[in-house]
Amino acid sequence: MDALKFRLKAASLLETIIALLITLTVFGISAMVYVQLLRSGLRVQTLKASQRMSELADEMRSSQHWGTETFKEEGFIIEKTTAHYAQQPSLMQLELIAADEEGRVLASHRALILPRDP
Amino acid sequence: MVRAGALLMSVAMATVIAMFSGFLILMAYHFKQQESLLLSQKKLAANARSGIEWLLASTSAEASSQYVDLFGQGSDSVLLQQRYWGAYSLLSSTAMSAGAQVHQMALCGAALSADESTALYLADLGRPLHVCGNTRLQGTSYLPEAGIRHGYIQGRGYTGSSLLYGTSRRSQASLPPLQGKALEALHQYRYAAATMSAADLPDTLHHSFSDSTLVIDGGKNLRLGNVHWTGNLVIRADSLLVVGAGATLNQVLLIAGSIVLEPQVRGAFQAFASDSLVVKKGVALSYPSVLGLCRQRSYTFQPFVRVEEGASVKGFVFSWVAPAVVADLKTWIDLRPNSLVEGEVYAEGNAQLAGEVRGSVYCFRIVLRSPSASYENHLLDAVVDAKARSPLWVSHALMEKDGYKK
Repeated sequence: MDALKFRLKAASLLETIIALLITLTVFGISAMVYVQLLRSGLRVQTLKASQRMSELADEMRSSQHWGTETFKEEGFIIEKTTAHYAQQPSLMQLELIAADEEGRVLASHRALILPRDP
Repeated sequence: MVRAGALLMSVAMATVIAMFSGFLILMAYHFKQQESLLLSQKKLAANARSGIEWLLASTSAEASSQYVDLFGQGSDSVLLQQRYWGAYSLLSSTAMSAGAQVHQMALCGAALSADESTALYLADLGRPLHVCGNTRLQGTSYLPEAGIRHGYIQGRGYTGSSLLYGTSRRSQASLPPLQGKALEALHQYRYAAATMSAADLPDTLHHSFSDSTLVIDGGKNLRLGNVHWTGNLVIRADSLLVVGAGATLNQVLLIAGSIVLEPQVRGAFQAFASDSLVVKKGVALSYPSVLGLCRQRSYTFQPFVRVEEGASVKGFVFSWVAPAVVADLKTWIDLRPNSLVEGEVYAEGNAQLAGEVRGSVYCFRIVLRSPSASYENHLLDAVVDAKARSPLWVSHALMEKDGYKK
């Protein structure tokens, strides 16, 4: 019967408003952090693009197919440029740039490759 | 009067949310750091690899060290170093940025040109080459002006349908020279201050090429028993160095007056002797192995390399005498019957070829010794097949060539 005698005290209007303000402020900040964190998902794309650049450079070493082209692959727009290396013309300089659909550059890769004898 | 019940509750909730947000911030920061580190490492690895390609493109095999800004933007610097490691070149590329480093190394030799299929190069001393028994010469042969003829030794004539299985070209009076600088660099190890004594080394050791070379002094005589040593090590003995069957050596350099490889030795290493080098029966050396007889001082005896029956070497077997050395006797390379060399044989002096060579033989003079006599420029049951070697074979870096290609 003693438990039934317990009475919960109500909060005043001012107390409630202050509490709501504090909660909303902290929640707002945490939401911003959360959104920022979600945006960091783009970094996964950066890493994927970087990895793909390395793979493409290795493929170029094997295939020895030189040239300049732009192509779309795995959601990336990849720009490939090859030219003779200025300091040692027997080397080829490869430059790869990967961008997303909106044209933001995600990753780039530069490498020197020594062409094999035919 | 303002009551604090709901306020207290909201502050508690706000604290929990703030802690959670803080955790998320820390996590995001950590991931960003890791991502930056990963991307930086990838860039450094790519630059280090480009540095190796840069070194491979240069036509010089001589020792060098230089900083190169690869792409001219000040953010892709690499330290490129090249030095001899025995008969091969050691390339080192170190890419660095903001205190981080990535190191790549490569052991390299000379690439065979597409049309290079030299089987035999015999210096022109005015005498013809005689072939006897089951001798087979497959590939391009550089022969004296006197040419090649049938021979007849120990009751055995030549059994082949053609004297040569390949083309014939005219040789010069001397062999194409070897790189003296590489062999002098080797000579320096013999007299360099020792890093430690062989007795102080553990039985198993791997020493990286990114560290400085360990020069191990074995004293006058050294026997390597059950040891497993790999990497950037130079092991030397003043007089005799014996490698026992239980020893496993890879990439190391052995330097001594005389070196003996006991039966059943396995490994891939380079051995350089000044007096004698004996490879006993059943020894099998993997690629890239080198057996070299290097003579820097005058001598009164005949320095020799002997590869006994059933032994095989994948790499390079050579004899070399410094130009200033005066000696009456030529060096001697003796390939016994049923021995196998896959790669190159270079004899600056005399050679007896009774085994099989899958690759090339450069020889000043061929001497065939029988119990009763010696025959000059005679081959009996020798096989030299340049085409049995892989076209992707990488040769040693000692041959002086125009436009050295790694």
